[in-house]
Amino acid sequence: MTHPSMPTDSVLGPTALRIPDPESAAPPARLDECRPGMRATICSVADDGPIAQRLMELGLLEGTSVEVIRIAPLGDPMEIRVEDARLSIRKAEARHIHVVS
Amino acid sequence: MHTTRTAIRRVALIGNPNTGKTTLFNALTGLSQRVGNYAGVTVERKSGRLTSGAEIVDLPGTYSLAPKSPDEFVVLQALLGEIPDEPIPDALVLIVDASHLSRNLYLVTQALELGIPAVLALNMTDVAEKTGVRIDVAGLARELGIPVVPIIASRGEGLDRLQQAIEALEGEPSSPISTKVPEFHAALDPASSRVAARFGVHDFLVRRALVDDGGSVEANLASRHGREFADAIAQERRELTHEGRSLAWREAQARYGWIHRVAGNLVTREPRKKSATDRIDAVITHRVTGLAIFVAIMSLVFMTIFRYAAPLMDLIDGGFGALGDAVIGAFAGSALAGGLLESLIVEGIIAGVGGVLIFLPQIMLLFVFIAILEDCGYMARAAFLMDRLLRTCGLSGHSFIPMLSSFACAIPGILAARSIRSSSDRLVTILVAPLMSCSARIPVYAIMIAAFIPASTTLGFLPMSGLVFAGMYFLGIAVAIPVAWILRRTIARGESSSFVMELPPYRMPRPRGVALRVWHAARSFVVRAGTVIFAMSILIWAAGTFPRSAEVRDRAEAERVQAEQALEGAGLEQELAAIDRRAATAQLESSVLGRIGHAIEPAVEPLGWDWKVGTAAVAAFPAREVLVSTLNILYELEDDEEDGLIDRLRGETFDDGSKRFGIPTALSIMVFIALCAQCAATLAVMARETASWRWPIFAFVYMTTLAWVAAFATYHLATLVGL
Repeated sequence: MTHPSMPTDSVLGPTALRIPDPESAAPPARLDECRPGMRATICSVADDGPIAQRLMELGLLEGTSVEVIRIAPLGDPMEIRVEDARLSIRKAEARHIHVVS
Repeated sequence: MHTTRTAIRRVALIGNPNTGKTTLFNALTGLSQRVGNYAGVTVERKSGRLTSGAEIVDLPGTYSLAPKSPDEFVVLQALLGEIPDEPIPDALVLIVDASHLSRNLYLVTQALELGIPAVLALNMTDVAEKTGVRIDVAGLARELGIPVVPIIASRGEGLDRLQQAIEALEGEPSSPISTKVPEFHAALDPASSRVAARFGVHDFLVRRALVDDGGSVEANLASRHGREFADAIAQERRELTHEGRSLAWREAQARYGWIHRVAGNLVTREPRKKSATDRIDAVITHRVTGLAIFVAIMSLVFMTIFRYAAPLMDLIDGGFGALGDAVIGAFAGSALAGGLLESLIVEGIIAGVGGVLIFLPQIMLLFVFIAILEDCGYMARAAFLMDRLLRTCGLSGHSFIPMLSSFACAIPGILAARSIRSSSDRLVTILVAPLMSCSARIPVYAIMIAAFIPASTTLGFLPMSGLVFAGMYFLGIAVAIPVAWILRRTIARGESSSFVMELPPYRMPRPRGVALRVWHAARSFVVRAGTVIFAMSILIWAAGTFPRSAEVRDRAEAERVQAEQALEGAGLEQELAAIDRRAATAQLESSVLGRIGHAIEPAVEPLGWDWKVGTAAVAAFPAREVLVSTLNILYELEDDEEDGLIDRLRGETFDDGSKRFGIPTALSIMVFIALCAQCAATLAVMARETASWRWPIFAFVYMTTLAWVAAFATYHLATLVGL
């Protein structure tokens, strides 16, 4: 499950890289793992390449709150709310975003 | 003070997607619009006239001036005057959605750095007010340093003031570049100036190349200035990266820092309530009701262009048929009856014009749907629902409607691809659209199935004919998936710009916007593609008519004299008709078309065809339906004698008396027709939509090759298993 653009420690800090344990109540660290209805705050956007840049241009920056509205019926993409706007984002892109609830 | 005032002659309209940019453009320009293409790219260029007479260009919607796709790159190039014959605009209209001011201001802060006089059009102020968003307009103008005009583009409110504000920019000096993020620029500019001076590139482009790691500008400049440039950029970028933070990150932080500070002072919003859009979306994108509604809407779209357009098409077809008959009637009795001129008018010109206009009902009906679905906001939901499915072949949800439409006809399908924002996705969609089995292939399938596929059932209940018919539809899809996948990874590599897409609030579509959309689609088809289709029809008519064989004419004349001496009454009539048919067949055989048919016989023989089928396949180039009528002529049948053709095909034998045609040949013809690009109209539209003949030629070559190989395999496989 590694991704070529998996962020490095220097960008994210060690906590964001922790893979959440599905059994525990700990919040998921990656946006693509969040469930519908969940509200969270972005703690980092993997800082590399055009996709990350586009996400930041759209206002997905550290400290911005996001809400997962729903997942598309076929399992992907997901709909999120950022500052009153609804965005459709593919899970492959959402994984660039790390959140804390 | 009337010295050196620069008149506003060219205005550029820029803004984020879904800000009502097109609505504003339509409202400002109406029927004065001209739609074309930027040279060499599949990016639409829309322009029109303001009341002042100035030209306004509607640039593609973009979230920033950091381009990641050809469409976005065009925006930047147009603003910098980097496109041949496109000078730098004298003024900018920056349109923003009042409800999403912060996000929209990102592009605005970048555009202000171009140093072009600008005015901000604050759109949809009514919607913003209703949701409790209040904006201090005067304060915003002060902070931005440009005039701000609140408008409601959909109702035409504020447009006079906007036009006045644009005209008032006249004489405004090209403002000194005003940046809202001076610290960011201070860090960046020494490096960008160095590189710009060294390579003679626009400062703004170098800044983009430095900041946008992996973006379009870097790729474009590197391909123009070589490795040295790429190395220089990489080096400067390394030195500018602080504490692991990229320039892109620093730019976003700086700009949003300014925006949030300004918006914090000037914008007040009430806490969000559950909106109508939320309630509609709960149903429309629901996993059960959402998919059901999607299927229902798509079925309606498909049925409309597939079935409900048919009466209109029959009307056009019948009208042109009647016109042709009227011309024949007018010629009757004159010395020119049955002559070359009559043939040119009836079979060349009238059939050619009819062959263009026949597509209009489908195109216009489809665009009514597309315009409504797009304007009301459903198109984005459809893309959201279908994205996963189309991603299997490297496309996105936006390709769904073009693909679906192509089952009725590839032409509206290719035109529908305009709504795909990513140009690589659009290109691939256009290139595979003709693989979908269109309605013009149905007569060919129908004849072949009726003639050769036994009326038996398989598995006890499934009719063979139905299975073969369905199989042809499935074949197109089955081939399109890997083809799209391969194209997406080879010639059309690149971003899928739908990576992040806005789901706009639902809105009522405006009849005027819908009408304009339909009008432009129809007009651009007739003007741009219609001429090519028409020319192609005349060409094929000429190829089937020339050279006129004196031998054929003399022989027919002799036979007629003979028949008139030997027979009389009904018998004579019959014999004369048969002589005419034989003469038509012999004439076609000796024409250029017939000779081509003979010449390509070695190529079609491995498919189980004879020269007649080969000739018919060539003659069908302007339109597939012609295949059946050409076979009618070649097999000496009267027009519309379908049963006759079926019998004739069945009865056709080799010299040794064995059957020439069987199930393998029928399947081979059907497979060929299913996969080949034998449609001049499609290729003409493809050329128009991609602004180059390279892509239609490519499509023709790849599809013909694919069709031949598949037909060959089908024929031999079917023969092998003893069908």
